[in-house]
Amino acid sequence: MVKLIWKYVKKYWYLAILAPIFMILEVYMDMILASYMEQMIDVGIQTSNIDFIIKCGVKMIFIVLVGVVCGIASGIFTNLTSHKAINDLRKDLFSKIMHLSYHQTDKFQTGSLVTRVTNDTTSIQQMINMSLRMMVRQLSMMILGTIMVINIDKRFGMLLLFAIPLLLLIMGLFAFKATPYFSIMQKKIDRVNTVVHENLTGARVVKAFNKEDYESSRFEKVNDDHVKTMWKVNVILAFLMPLLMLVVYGLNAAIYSIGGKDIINNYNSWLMNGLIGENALMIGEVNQAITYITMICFGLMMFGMLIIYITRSIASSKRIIEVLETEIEIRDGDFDISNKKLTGTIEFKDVSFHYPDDKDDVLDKINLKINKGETIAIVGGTGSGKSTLVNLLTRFYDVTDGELMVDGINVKDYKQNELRDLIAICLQKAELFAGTIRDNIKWGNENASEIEVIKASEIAQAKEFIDSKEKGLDEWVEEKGTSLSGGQKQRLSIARAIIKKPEIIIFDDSTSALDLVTEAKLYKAMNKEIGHITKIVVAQRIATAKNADKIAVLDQGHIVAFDTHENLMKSCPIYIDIYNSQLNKEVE
Amino acid sequence: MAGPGRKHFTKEKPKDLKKSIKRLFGFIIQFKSILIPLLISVLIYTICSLTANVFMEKVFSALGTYDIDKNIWTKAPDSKEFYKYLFILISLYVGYVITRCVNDLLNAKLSTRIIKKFRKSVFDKLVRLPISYTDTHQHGDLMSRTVNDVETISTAINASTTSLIGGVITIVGCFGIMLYYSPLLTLVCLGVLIISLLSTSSIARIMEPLHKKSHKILGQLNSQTEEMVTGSKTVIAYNRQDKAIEEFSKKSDEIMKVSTKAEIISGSMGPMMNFVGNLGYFAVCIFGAIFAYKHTGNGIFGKELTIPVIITFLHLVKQFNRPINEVAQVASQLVSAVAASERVFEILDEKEEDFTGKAGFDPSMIKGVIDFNHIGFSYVKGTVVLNDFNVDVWSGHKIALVGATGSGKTTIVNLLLRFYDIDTGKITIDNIDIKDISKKDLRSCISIVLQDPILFQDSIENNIRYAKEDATDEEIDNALEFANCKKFVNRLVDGKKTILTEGATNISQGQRQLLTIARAVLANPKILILDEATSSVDTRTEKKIQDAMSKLMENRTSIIIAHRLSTIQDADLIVVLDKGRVVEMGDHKQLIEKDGVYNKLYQTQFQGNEI
Repeated sequence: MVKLIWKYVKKYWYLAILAPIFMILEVYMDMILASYMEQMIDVGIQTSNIDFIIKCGVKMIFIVLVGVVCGIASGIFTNLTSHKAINDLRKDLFSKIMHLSYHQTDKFQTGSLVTRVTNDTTSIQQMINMSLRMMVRQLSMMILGTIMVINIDKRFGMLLLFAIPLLLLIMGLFAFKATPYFSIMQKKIDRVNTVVHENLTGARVVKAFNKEDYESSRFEKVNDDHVKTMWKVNVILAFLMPLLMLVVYGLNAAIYSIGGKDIINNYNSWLMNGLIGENALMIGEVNQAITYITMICFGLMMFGMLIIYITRSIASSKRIIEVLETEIEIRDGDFDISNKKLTGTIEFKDVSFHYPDDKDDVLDKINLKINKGETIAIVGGTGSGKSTLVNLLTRFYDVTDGELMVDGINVKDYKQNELRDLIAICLQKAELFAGTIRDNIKWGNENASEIEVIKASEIAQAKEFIDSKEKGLDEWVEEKGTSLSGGQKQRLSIARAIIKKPEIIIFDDSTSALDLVTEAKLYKAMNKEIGHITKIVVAQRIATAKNADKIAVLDQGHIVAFDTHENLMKSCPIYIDIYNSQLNKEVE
Repeated sequence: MAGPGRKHFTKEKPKDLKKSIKRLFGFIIQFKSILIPLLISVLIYTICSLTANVFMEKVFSALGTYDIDKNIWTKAPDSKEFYKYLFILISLYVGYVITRCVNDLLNAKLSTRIIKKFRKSVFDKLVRLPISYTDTHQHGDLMSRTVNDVETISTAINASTTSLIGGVITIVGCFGIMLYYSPLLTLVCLGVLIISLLSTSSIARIMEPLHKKSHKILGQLNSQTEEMVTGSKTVIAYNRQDKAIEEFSKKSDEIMKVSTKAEIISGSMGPMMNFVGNLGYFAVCIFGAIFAYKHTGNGIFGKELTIPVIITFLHLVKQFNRPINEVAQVASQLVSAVAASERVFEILDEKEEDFTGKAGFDPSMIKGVIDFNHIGFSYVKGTVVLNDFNVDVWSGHKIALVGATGSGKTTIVNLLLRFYDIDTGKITIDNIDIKDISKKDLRSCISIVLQDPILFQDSIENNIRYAKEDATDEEIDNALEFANCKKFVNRLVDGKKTILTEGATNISQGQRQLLTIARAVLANPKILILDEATSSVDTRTEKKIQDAMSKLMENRTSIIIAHRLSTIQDADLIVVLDKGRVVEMGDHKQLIEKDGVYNKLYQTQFQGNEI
C-alpha cells in the first residue's frame, strides 16, 4: 500500500511535505498558547495585572492567528496533494481497466471494477488526507505535549510513560478482538441484502410456490444472524470508551494528588521558613499539566481510531493494486498494416481454445476457410462454441493453439486497433450508451455524414422506429439503452456496425429479438447494399442460417460439417435434427 | 469518519415531520424496558461529569492561593478539605465510567432490538404485498429501505439518547454552574458561543453547494465508469478505449477541482473552530481577570470570582462547546432518520394481499378446466392490455399463446395466478371463480416457469426442492432427469450440491431455464404454465423436454407461451393474440389452412430468409 501511495504522491512531494510542516506548526502554536495561558493564570490573573493580561493577550491572539493560518494552509496542501495524486491514480486505473481483456473484466466483475474506480480511490484519498493531517496532528501533539509535561514536572512525565502504553494496549486488545467481527458483519449484511433482493426479483416464484412463510423465516434467520454479530461487536466496544476514560481519569486523579500534595508541602515549607521550593508546582501548572495530558490521551485515542480507519483502506488499496498489476493478456503485434492488401479472407488453422480457468477445450482443432464476400452461418446447440469462435476473430480472446489468419496474416501480428478496424461485431446483448440515437450509431464511425447515418439505419431496419420517435435521430437513449426494446437495441447496434464500413461483419446471434419478417428484410437490404463484405452469422434459428453461402455446424467444439443448406440436409444428421426441431415435417 | 460536511448531501427533509416523529416515537416506546434505564444512565453519567467540574474547582480551591511576587499565601491550603474533595472527584469519575459502560451496553441492546424487530416487520410485509407493488417499485430502493433505512433509524435513536439528551443536559448544566459562579462571565461565554455557531453555519453554507456539486459529478463519473465497463466488449470492438479514457479524465479532473475546493473549506472548519475556542479561552481569562480585579462578576449567591472559578470556567467553556456541535449534528441525523422512517412506514402501511377464500376447493382434486370468460384488463387505466379475452381450456389440454411482444400473453399468466386481479369478466377453474378460491389453494395447483429464470443463492438441490420441501433425493433426481439437467449438473464439480451464485451466473441462461423447469415439475401441479420457458434452450434439447412433458401432462392442463413456433406446434389449441385481442384460434393444422396471421408467421419461419 505504501508503495502504491508513494508512487502517486511522489510527483507532488513539495505539496506533501508542506502539509505536515504547517500542521506541526499549528500544533506547536497550540502548545505555546497553553503555556501562555498558564502564565496568564499564574501571573496575570493571580495578581490581577491588567497590563500583563493585555500584553500577554495580544501575543496570544497573534499566536492563535498564526495557528489558524498554518491550519488552513496545511488543509490546502493536504487536499491538493491527496486529490491530485488520487486523480492520477483514478485515471491510471480506468485506463488499465479499459485495456483489460474481456475475460479479465468478466473475472473482476463489472460492479466490483466500478467500486474500485470510485469508492476505493476515494477511501485512499481520505487515507492520505488523514495521514498527512490528522496523524501528524495527533502524533506531534503527543510528542510536543509529552515534552511540555516533562518540563512541568518529571513525575507527570513518568505517569504518562506508564499511561500511554496502557492506553495503546487497551486499544490494541479491543481492535484485535473486534476487527474480525467487522468483516463477518459485512458478510452477514450481504446475506440479508441477498435475501431481500431475491424476494423482490423472485416475488412471482415465491408467491407461485406459496413460500411467503418460508421466506419470512429464512429472512428472520439471516437477520438474527446479522444482529447477533452486531450485538457481539457492540458489547466489546461498549467497554472500550469507559476503560480508556478510566485510565485518563486515573491519570488526572494522580496528577491532582501529586500536585496537591506538593502545594500543601510548599505551604508547609513556607510556614516554616517563608519560602517555597525552587521548582515548586503552581496551581496553574497543575491545571496546565491536566490540559496537556487530556490532550495527549484524546490524541492517542484519535490516533487509534485513525489506525483502524487506515487499516480499512488497506483493503481498498489491495483491490486497486490487484487491477493495476494485472498483466494485460492480449498484446499488440508489430505488423504494419499500410503495406497489406485487404482482402477480407479468414482462415482458422487447427484452432483450439479453452478458457483460462477451464481445462476442457471449448474449440478443438477448428479448420475453416472463409473467402471475401462470402456469407457464412454458424449453427449449433447451446455451449457448442459458436460465440467463442467469432470472439477469437476480434481477439476478445486469443487462441490457445493453432493459427487464426485474417487476410493471410495471423491476428496476433496485428495491432489490436487496426485489426478491430477491419471487423465489426454485433453482440447478442446489444450494448448502447447514454447519448442520442445518432451518437450511438456514430459510435461506429465518428466522421460519418448524416446521409451515412440515415443509410445505415435504413439497412439495419431501424429507420422506421427512429422516425416514430419524437425527436428522431436526436432521441435520447438512456444508459445501457434501457429506454429501448430489445429489438430496437439490436437494430441500432447493427446500424452502428454497418456505418463502420468494415471488411468483415460478424453477427453474434444479434437478430434474436427481431421478428422473422424484419430479419428477412434486414438480410435482403444487407445483401443489396453491402454484399461485398464478408459476413459471419451466428444463429439459433435455422431460418436465419438457411440461405448463407455455407453453414458451419458446430457440436461440442468440433466442426462436424461445413456446407450449403441443401447438402447438409442430405448429409449432416445433427443439422437435420436441429432443422426438424424447429420446422414441421408435415408442411415440408 | 467520512470527513466533516460529508453528511450534508444526504440531508433529506421529511414530508410531515410532526406526524412522522409521533409515529416513530410510538414505535420506539415499545422498547421502554430498555429505554428507561438507558435514559437514567445518561442522566447519571452526565451529572457525574458535570459535578466533577464543580468538585475540580473545590479541589483547586482547597489548595489556597499564593501570590508569587509578594511570596504571600492569600489563602492557606486545607489538606483535609483537599483530600475530601479529591475523594469525591475520584468517586465521580468512577461513577461516570461505570454508568457510561452500562449506557453503552443498553444502547447496544436497544439498537440490535430495533433493527431486528423493525427489519423483520418490513420484510414480512414485503413478501406479503401484491406483485403489483414489487413490479412498480424500484428494487434497489425497497432494499435500501429494508436494510439501510432501518439502520439509519437505529443509529440516530442511539445517538440521540446519548448525544442529544446528554448534550442538552450538559449544556444546561454548564450554564447553570456558570451562572452560579458568575453571570457576567457567563455572558462573555455566551458571546463566544454565538460567534462560534455563526462561523460554523456560514462555512457550512459555503460548503453545501460545493458538496452537492461534487456529489453530482461523482454520480456522473460512477455511471460513466459503469457504462464503459459493462459495455467493455463493445468499447473494445469499436476501438473506443482512448476516447473513453479521455472522457473519463475530463470528468475526473472536474471532480478533483470541485472536491479539492470543498474539502479545503471543510478542512478549515477545524482551525476556525480552534480559533474561536481559543478566543473563548482568552476572553474568559481577560474578562475574568478584569472582573476579579474590579471585584465584580460575582456569583448569584455572592460567591466571589476567584482564580479557581476562572479555571473552572475555562474547563466549562471547553465542555459545552463539544455538545453544542454534537447536538447540531445529531439533530440533522435525526431529521434524516425521520425521513427514513417515513419511507419505512410507507411500506408498512401498504395493503397486504388478501389470502382468504371460500372453502370447498381442493387443489389436489381439480380437473384443470379453465375458463377465461370475456376478460378485460389494464395495468394503467386507459391502456387496455387485454380486451374481451375469451378462451376455454379443457382438462388435459395443451394450449399455446402466440403473439408479438406486448400482445398480452404474459398478462394472462399474471391474471390466472391472481398476481393481478381482472377488471371485467371472470376466470374459473373447474367452474369455480378464482376470486372465491384462496390464493394459497389457487397457487398450489398451478406451477409456472418464467422466461427470466429465478433461482436462489443456494445449492441446485435446494433450488429444486423449493417446490416441495419434503421431496426425496430420488424425486429430485427424477425432476433433474426430466428437464435434461442431469448432464450438465453432473459435469459441475459439486454436482447437485453446487451452490448457485447470485443471479446464478455460474451456469448459462439455458441451464437456468432447465433448472426452473425441473423445479416446476417437482411441484407436480394440475396446471402448468410455461412462459417462454425454453427460449434460451437449443431446439434439440427443447424437443426432448417436450416429449417428456407430453407424457407427464396427460390428464393435466398446460399453458405455453412461446416466440418460437416450433415449440408449440403440437398444442391442442393455439391462441393468436394481437394487441390484447384474440385474432385467431385453432390447432396448428386449422390455422395453417386458415392462411391468416399464424400462417404468415409460420411461413417466414419455415421458409427462412434470404441472406
